[in-house]
Amino acid sequence: MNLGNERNGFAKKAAPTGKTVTASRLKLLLATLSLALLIVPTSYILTFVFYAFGTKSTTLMDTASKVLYLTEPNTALEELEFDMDFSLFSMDLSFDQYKQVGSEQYPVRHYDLHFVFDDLVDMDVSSDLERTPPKYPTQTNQWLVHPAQGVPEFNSEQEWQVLEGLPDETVVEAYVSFNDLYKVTDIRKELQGTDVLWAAIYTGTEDEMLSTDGDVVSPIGYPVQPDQTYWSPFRDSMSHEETFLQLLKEIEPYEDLSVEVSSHKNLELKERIAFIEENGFAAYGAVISGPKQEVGALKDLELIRYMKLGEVKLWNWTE
Amino acid sequence: MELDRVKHISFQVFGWFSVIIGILALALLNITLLSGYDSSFTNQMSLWISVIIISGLVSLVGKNSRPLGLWGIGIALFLILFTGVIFFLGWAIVPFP
Repeated sequence: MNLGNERNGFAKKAAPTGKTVTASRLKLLLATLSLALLIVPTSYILTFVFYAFGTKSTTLMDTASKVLYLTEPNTALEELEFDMDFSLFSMDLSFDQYKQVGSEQYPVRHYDLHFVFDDLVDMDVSSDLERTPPKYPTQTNQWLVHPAQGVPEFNSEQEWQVLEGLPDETVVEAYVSFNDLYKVTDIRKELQGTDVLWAAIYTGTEDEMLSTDGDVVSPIGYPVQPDQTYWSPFRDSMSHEETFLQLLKEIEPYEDLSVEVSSHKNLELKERIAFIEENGFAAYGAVISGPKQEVGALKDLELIRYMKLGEVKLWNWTE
Repeated sequence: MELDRVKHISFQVFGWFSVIIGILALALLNITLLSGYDSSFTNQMSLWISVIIISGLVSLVGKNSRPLGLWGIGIALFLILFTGVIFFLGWAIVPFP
């Protein structure tokens, strides 16, 4: 019967043999495996596309860098030493923060930031500071105090005593609060013999360290000394004041991220930018550094209301 | 007749070789990416891609082995796309030398 059908061209389609079924199953298995193995590389491509064309990795890095210059007194970062790692839909950013004490820069903190897309999900900060500022800023525990504020939590007299007792061969960092608001140029003239490193600028909220919404704010300001390191946001700046205002505007769209990166609990940038634009730049405090004796000599200046001692290092001062 | 059969089998072998090497390359790429460490695989990527493409192209000649060849070449093209994107976008997203 079969022979007859074949002769007439009506051969039945051959039933799949065991070998054919095995080959088909193998093909299906390998096709599935191929597709599964494309998932991770494709996710990497999407991750890179996001950090190149979505929220740029450089934007996240620059925002973190700028906010630390503006919110952490006497801070410098070396972006060349930033470490950037990408994994699935996430980015790790780690870098060191430096402080100038005397004439030299010292590493004081190490930051490890972990972003999932542009969301900062984890931050680890290790500190080498010998005198750490309050972790949870309040209205009264800050180291730079506006003239309208009452007595701070630290004892300024004790700080002067500690300074007095230091060996002469040391250089110190000091947080000085003024009895009024001053222009930074005037402060530099008054505080001879020391480097004025960072000026805390009055933004209308420092009288009580509260924003109009009643949120506790912390000092913001800018580095005073010329900075020619090419990663510094103040490089080639003709006016650090104007650059400061410009940087505040640049980080404003990323205020949530900025708050998370800095030690501040609130930045209230819109309110503070508006105040500076209307009233200009006036400093109520500064971070200075210099030889112990030069800083100690400032004790009797009428200008200085309170002093909080920062880091102390062995002599490295050069004129 | 016998020569045709040898040709047929040879093209099939090249096709399967292209696919298997392609899948192996993808697996190694996954391991490299998930482990987070640079392995020697990334340095030899061009060699792997060349092998996949050459064996894939050979298998394209045979009618029955053509789908296997296309499959292997598809994997190679994906690896080329991946390498290119990671190289150029990596250059854009990491601003350091």
